[in-house]
Amino acid sequence: MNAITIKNVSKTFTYHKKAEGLRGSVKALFRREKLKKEAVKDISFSLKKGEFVGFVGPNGAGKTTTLKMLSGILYPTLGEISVAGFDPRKRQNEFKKRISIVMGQKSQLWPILPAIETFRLLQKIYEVPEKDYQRRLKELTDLFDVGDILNTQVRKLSLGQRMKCEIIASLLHNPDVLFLDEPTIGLDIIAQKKIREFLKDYNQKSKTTIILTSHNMDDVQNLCERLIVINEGIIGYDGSLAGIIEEYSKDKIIKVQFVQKVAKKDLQLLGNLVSWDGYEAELSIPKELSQEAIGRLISKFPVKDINISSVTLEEIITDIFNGKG
Amino acid sequence: MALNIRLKKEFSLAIIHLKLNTMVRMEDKITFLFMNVGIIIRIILVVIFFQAIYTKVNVIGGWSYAEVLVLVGTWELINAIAWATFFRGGFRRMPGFMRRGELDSLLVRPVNLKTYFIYDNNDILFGSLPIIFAVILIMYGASISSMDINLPYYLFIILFALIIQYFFVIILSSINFWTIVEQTMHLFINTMRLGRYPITIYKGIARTALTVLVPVACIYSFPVQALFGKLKITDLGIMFGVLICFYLLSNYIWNIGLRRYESTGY
Amino acid sequence: MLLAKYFIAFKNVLQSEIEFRANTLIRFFISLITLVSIFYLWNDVFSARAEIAGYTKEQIITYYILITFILASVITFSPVADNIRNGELSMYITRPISYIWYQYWLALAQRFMRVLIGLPILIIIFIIFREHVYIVTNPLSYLILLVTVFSAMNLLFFIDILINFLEFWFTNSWGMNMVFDYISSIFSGALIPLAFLPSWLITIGNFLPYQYTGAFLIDAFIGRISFDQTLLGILIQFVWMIILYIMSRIVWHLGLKRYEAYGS
Repeated sequence: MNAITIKNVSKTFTYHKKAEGLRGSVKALFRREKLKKEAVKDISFSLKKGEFVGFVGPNGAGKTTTLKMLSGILYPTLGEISVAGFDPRKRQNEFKKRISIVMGQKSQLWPILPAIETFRLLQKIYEVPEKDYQRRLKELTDLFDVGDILNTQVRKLSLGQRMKCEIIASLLHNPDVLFLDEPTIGLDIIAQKKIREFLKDYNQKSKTTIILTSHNMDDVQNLCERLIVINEGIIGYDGSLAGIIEEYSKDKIIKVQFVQKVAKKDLQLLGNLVSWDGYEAELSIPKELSQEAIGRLISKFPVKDINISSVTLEEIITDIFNGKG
Repeated sequence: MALNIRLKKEFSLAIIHLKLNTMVRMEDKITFLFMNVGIIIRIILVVIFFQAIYTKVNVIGGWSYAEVLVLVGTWELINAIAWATFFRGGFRRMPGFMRRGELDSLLVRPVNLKTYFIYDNNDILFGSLPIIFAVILIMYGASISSMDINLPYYLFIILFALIIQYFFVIILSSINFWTIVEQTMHLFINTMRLGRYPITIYKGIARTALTVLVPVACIYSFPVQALFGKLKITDLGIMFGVLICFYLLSNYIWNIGLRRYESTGY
Repeated sequence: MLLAKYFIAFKNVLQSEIEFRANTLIRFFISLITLVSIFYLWNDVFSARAEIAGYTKEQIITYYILITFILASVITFSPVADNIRNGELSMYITRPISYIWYQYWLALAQRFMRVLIGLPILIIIFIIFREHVYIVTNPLSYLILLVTVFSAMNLLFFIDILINFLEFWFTNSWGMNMVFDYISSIFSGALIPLAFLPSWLITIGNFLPYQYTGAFLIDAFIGRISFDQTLLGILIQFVWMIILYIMSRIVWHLGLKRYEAYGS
């Protein structure tokens, strides 16, 4: 049985048009237009237990709406959902004990108190037996190495430390499914790395199914084997991360600096010239031909410095957003 | 969930919230001290108000000065208990929760919000100050009256008054599921203020409305009448009727409100 | 040119007030609920007598309707204390405008809006309850009301801003704010007409400006005081305005010094 199944799910919102200017506001006193927004259109996918999936898309694409439907906060206009064997719509307590959601900008922790106090509260809320609670607390604290800050007021912690405590709080009751919404937002590189390491480790050890939404491509690339791309309520891609890179990054990007000025048309013989200003140029060459092109570049042109890279994941996904690829 | 298990869970959650909220309040002692001293000053203002009127008349709505003092004390006592518990809780903060998306986090938790909101933001610590002051006022009023008092009956009616008020708060708070009106609690306070005066001053349709629709009569006047042995059996019956109706109504409105929230997400 | 910037502030507040239309209207209606109890209470009190402390039943009801209306209109949520506490004040003092005047126009716009929205409701209430209220027919009284209300708004502004300025010295001054609110409610006559209070309280009240933000306006309007007394009252309002204006400038100056020394 799948951990998560979404079948033909759509979600439509109705909302009021916002007024503009003084005159518009006065008009709005009497009548406002009703508009419909289709946030999610007939999407389907399923996740197996223990999968770590990246869920990406531009703002307003339908990511948060989908997460909310999976966690039972919203119910779909059409379609069926099953999470951890339950229908989220029914909002049964047993269902709620199996899931957990961490939202990057919102906090479960009481700011004025030390994190450990909120942990205790969550233990009571999720009815975690004392022995299990102590064991999990120790495991998670060790894994994150935060033992010394649990007794400090949350508002005195750094953003990174707060996030670590936030994640621990969400895992104390051993959920089957974890929803992470922008967990690394606003964090410095080191904190981001630490959190990624933790999540990867935790996912492998506990086989918790995790859905991660993030604008940070490093997160997605490091953690997820599978990627779901959503845009304007429709799924643009659902498959392996490696596969998307393989399929979409057919080109190599070659950035080169020259000692002397080089003519544009000479470079264009080599391949697709993305940019050129005389001393610097950027070429996009199909992978199979790149080695040969690089060879010719070095032998025929006064190259000062050369840099070869693949199309980044971010660029691939942007292309998918824009309908190319 | 079996009732005794559920009760145990609610109780342990209430205790831990008592502990956590006390810790939070202690961080800002001055503010909460000020707030509660303010409430006591306000009570004094109300007493001044009634004293001023009683210098010109002997009865208000047939009630003597002593009875009115007990009414003022009862009004403050019931509201102080409510303010220390459910009135301060999530019900009042619903507009804020919904605006900031925090309601979502609460909905995902395996707790029943209607009972959770009774204790989630309680202030039993500092909130006991106005309670004590109100009790003193009630005792004073009872002492200067020449009538016999029935304390157990009084306490019994107060308990039901609090329960009715609780259901009323749930109904008001549910309005936010349809339209975020930041004023629901302002509305609550203003309607409850109508109960500051003996119910007997209201006549006709106003009196009926204030007994069954916005039941300030049940919540404030009936306990005082019970204390002085003046509560009619018919009124007691009405009170129970109101209790049951509000229970059913609050359940119904809250549930359909929640369902609407799930479909629109606001 | 100078006025233009204040006018834009005025217009912006007007617009956001309209946008909070549901809130404004509802807030108004909710404040009016207490009038129901006032009506019944005083009907009961006056059941045995025709006149108490110089007021007839109709006059007392009119008194409370007007004072509730005034209270609902002039309560503004001044951002001054917040500006001081969270340091936003720094933003304002670097701009080429007078902070006090800026706040003045902001407050005036809010109050203007509330009065505008409340006026039709007020008129409707007076029409519905015409048998129970005291209707003023003398047009001069309305003119006087306009003058006294405008002066009262100014008085309230300066009192308000002075209390907000306490934030310069005490963080979370809202506790003191609350105490001043209670003092105001007694001495402005919002709680009960001043004539009902014990004489020692009335004496204290004579040294404070509060009665000129409430009771005086209504007593002058319904003709409970003579024309001469009304003129004297208007003069006293004016004197208080000057005193409070000077006080606010002094306190602003001192407070700013402290603000700049300590930061936010």
